Amino acid sequence: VIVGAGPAGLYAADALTYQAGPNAEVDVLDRLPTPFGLLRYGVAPDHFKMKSLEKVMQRIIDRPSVRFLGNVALGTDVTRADLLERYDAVIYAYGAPLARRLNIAGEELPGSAAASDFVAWYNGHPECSVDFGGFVASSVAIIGMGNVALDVARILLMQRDKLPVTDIADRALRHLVEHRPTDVYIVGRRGVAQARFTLKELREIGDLEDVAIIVDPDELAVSEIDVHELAGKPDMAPILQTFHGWAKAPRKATPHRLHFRFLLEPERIQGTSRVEAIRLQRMTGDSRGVTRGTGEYVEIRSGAVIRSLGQTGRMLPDIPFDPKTGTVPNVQGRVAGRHGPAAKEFVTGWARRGSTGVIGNTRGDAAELAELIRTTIRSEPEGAAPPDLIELLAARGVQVVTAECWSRIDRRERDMGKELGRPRVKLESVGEMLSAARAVDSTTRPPGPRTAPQENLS
Amino acid sequence: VTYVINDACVDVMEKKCIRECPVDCIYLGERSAYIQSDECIDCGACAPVCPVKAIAYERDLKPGDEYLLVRQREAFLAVGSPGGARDFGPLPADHPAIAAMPRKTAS
Repeated sequence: VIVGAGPAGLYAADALTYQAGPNAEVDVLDRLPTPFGLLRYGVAPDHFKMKSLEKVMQRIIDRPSVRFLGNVALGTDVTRADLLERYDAVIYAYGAPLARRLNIAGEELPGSAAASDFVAWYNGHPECSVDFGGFVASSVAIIGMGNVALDVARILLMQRDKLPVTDIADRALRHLVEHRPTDVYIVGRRGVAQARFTLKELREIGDLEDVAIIVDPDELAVSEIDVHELAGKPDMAPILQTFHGWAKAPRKATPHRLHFRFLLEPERIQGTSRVEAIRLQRMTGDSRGVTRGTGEYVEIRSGAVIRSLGQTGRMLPDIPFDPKTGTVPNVQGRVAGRHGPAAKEFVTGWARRGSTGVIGNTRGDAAELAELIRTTIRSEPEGAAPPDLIELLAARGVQVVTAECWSRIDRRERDMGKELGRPRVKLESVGEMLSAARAVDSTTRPPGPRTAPQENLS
Repeated sequence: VTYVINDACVDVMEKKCIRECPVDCIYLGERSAYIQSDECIDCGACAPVCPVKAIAYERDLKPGDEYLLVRQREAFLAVGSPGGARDFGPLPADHPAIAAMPRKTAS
């Protein structure tokens, strides 16, 4: 069984069921009624090519040896013990859902939020905890120097006629077409040498037609003295060139500006009833990448502060968790419990590595994991096997969303999109999803156990 | 836009890219790998894992290297868009320009 139907979980399912020979049967659980995890709820809606991966993911779900069981939460609907007694292997692939914090004063003010919340909001995640419909700010500061910061900036600044052709959440579309900030700041605590932007995403932001990109040449120069770090990263050269290009370029005459700021460490978010500004200490670096404060402070007036500092894992009941790394402790993918390596528990994706890497990396991980499972796990003989997980869930009153139920949600969303010329209109609450999942043909049998599970590997 | 494999792959084929590609659009010939540009989704997972730095983004090709993209497209003339290398298997033939290269001796 695999816990989490995002890319990491589904590629693991793929790797376990693709090869010829005595194939495994895999159940893939997800807390949400919908599969695809961050592909659906993380990848920016204007990244159409990435979103097209849905087709690949759907094919994995449709495989006869794979069973999708959505709306099933580990820790509440099923326990670790339920899984361990039913399956030959348990794979945790539930990602890194919690946003890292700045841990500075004012972080709780309205107008301060995590990038992952903003992303969840514009992608229509049903459990989005912040209503950005109340965010009206002509100036927004984003703290962090990775591609998520670029996603947030791009969605905030892109031309509004480009939004409706995407599957961006309706709630976000309604708000964003009315509000487009004039100034967005991407702020890094360290210098450009430590930036995690990739070239392709940087260029994409440079391609925004009516947005001026503003880089202070002096700040860029100071942040570049970390020659030691740069020497080890030849890929940084074209990224530096891009920033230098922007620093030199004549400023576009447009009311929308994206400012890149380096070597500024957030000290405090200011405001009485909501965010009004962020105060930052100017930092300085040396040639070996050591950054320290200068004692000089600057203030950026902004009505919103969005922190984009990466994600960390969530602790689930009974499951090993290392709060320092925010991951499930493991040795090469095998969960490391208090008493040494677990016999049949594995971890993959961001739950294993933390929030780094692109979707493709999870496919590489999955191949290795499948190999490990194939060589170390023997299917346990059929004894007095406990009832199929579906029966257990039914007895507990859980409305399981099967692949067939999901196909109804999917069809409903696409149908709503068709009327508006959009790829889909996402249902934004679990209630709506569950009623769409139940709807239509009454001939559908309730999901039952498959043919006698002979080899229930994983 | 797509990613492009250059001559560094010829007779080396480390194949690290193949397991990272989420859409399985990197196909093997006898002597080199080729990216099917219609299937590529520009995700960028392949380039950083290549030990011989054989993969570049189309927009980052050096002036004069545009022929690499043409060559890569031509490698699929006979097969089109097979929809996944794992099911399709190896390409029937290398691009003629690659097939005609002198063999690199194993170092």
